[in-house]
Amino acid sequence: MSAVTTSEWAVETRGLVKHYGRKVKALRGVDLRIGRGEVFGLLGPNGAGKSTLVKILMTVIGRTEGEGTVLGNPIGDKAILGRIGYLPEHHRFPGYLKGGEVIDFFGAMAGIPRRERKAKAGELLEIVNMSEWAKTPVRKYSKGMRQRIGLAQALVNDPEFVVLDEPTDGVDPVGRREIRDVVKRLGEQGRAVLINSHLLGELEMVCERVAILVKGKVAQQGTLEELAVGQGRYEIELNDGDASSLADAVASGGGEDPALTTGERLVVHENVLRIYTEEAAVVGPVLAKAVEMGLLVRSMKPVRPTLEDMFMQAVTDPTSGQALRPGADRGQKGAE
Amino acid sequence: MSLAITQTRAMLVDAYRELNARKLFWITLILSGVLVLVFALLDIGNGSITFAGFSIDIPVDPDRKLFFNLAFTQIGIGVWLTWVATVLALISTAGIVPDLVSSGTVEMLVSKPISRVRLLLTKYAFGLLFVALQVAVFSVGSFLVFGLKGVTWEPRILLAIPIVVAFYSYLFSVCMLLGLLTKSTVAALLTTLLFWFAMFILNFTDASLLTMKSSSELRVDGLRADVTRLEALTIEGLEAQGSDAPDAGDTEALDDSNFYLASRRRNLAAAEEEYESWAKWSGRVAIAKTVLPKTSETIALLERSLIDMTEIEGLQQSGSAWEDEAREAAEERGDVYVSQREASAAAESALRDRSIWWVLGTSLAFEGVVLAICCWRFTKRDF
Repeated sequence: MSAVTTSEWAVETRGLVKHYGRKVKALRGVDLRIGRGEVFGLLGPNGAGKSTLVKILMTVIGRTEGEGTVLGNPIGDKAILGRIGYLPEHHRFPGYLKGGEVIDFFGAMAGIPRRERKAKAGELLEIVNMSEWAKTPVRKYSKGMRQRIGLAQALVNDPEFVVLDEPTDGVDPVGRREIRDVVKRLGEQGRAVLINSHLLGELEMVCERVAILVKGKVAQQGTLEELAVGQGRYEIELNDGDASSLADAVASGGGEDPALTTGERLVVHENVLRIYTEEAAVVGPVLAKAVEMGLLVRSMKPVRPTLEDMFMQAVTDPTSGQALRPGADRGQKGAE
Repeated sequence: MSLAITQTRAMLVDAYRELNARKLFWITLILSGVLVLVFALLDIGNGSITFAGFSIDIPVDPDRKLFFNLAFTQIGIGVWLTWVATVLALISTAGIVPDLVSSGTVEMLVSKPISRVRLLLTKYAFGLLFVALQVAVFSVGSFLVFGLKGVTWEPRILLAIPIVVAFYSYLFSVCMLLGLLTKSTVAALLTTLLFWFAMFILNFTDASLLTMKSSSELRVDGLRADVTRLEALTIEGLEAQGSDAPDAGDTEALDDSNFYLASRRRNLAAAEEEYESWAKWSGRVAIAKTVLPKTSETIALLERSLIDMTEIEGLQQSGSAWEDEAREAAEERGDVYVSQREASAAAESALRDRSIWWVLGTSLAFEGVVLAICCWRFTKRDF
């Protein structure tokens, strides 16, 4: 399962609560565990509390209730911050600084001695492909270049734990791939990484475990495999119009001799029939029925749920079937 | 410890880069240099002022050292450093805190292993350091110019550095608090200028009330002396006439015998009442000033140190014909005339009597309170 090999967690929170004023309840009791050496993805709709959670871990904001540890020290302990790398969302570097100076300055603020910083800056500029721009003022950078420098400064202190809030925001596809590679390498080096991103496809490529935050609470947490359990499906591709005929025929109430008796969910999507089961044995009779009906089966394949599928399921209200509205809990009726 | 040194050094370099990026810092420094150059080219002596070879005759022949000390305190400090350069410095540094707490920057800094109080106070200290640098360039420049010109080697000129920095620090602490609360450079700058103006008005009111009080006091003293003199004259006169002279304490009998004495006594009572009133208001303003920063008086400390009161009095012209007429008219009314010059000198002397510790101590206490509020606010705030 997960890459957690030690009993000690990089991050552990219990019942983290954050209220802004009386009305806005950004976090409503977050329990989270990030293992050391694990690349962890934090996802959720806008206003779910992702950045709030990250900011609490980084002591940028205080918490209303709850407790937790970061690298074994209580949340809020400033001393531990020197061992953490952080790239905030919408970060802004002073325009008068040059790329290399940004890395040097934040390295110094993390307590890295000058000589080490100098050596490290060159290496990091190389990694994020910004060596040529090291002597250009940041104000002349594009958004993607600022992200690259931001990533480099987050790594200058050789952190044990790296927190990246929307690291690929504004970065072109080539750059995104490079950033993904850097993140993967960090995980391989045994560093814990927390990535907060909207780009689910990217998280899927690098994260070992994820947590889906909805309205200030962790709706789901686990490895991608754990979250995918019970959400796999088979897809049968047919000719136009045939998918719905087959669905009618195999559904338990759809014919005299139903092929599906166990009540699996069926969804017709254009010319594809989706059967929500992970058991190949369930699909056999459906194929037999198609052959019996003389339908042409173009393809049949098992489909593992994407992170997007899992995400959509987590943010969909089970009673209405509608995706939850964005924004934090504002204490309307029914809320805690 | 090495962590703190590494961070402080980085913040110092950053503060320098930030100021370096603001052209205004260099413009102010160059203008300071120009003013020092003006001092270098200016000279006085033998009844004329010379500037870069041109000379103008003047009717008086003041002391050369006093002239340059006055030029330094009145123009160099009084006009340039405390008005023009202060406004320029405020424009240069007002953005330090709003930039620090702006979204996207503050997260980067407060997430580092440094306490928020240290972060804020270091930024504050570096803001002051650069102002100190400006004043130092100007003061050391002036000190050298005065010395090399053979006017005077006056090390007290260098007192301008701590004095002007103290003065600036009152304003900068207020500017920092406002920057923290509003997150806006323009709002912080404008409200600080407003605060400074309010302090200026308060100081002006204080000085005016003190002048009125001093003037009243001098009038009371004059009238009291007159009354005593007339009482003695009256008793003497009555005794000379061979009549029964009343006791010195029997004011009624004395007043009945001398019309002038009665009218002076009435004037004295009115003057005493007026004095009480001025003293009451002056006292109230002084109490209000105790809890507020004393911007003008802090700057005046330099003048107090550099220039002796008697030297200035020597420069002032003695009573004019107009004043003599006013004095005679007042005497005819049974009153005492107090000239504006005398009242101002008395008020100036009263101001100079205020202790340095009251001027600096209470102002720095105010600054301390403002800084404590800043630190508390910055520590508690979510960003």
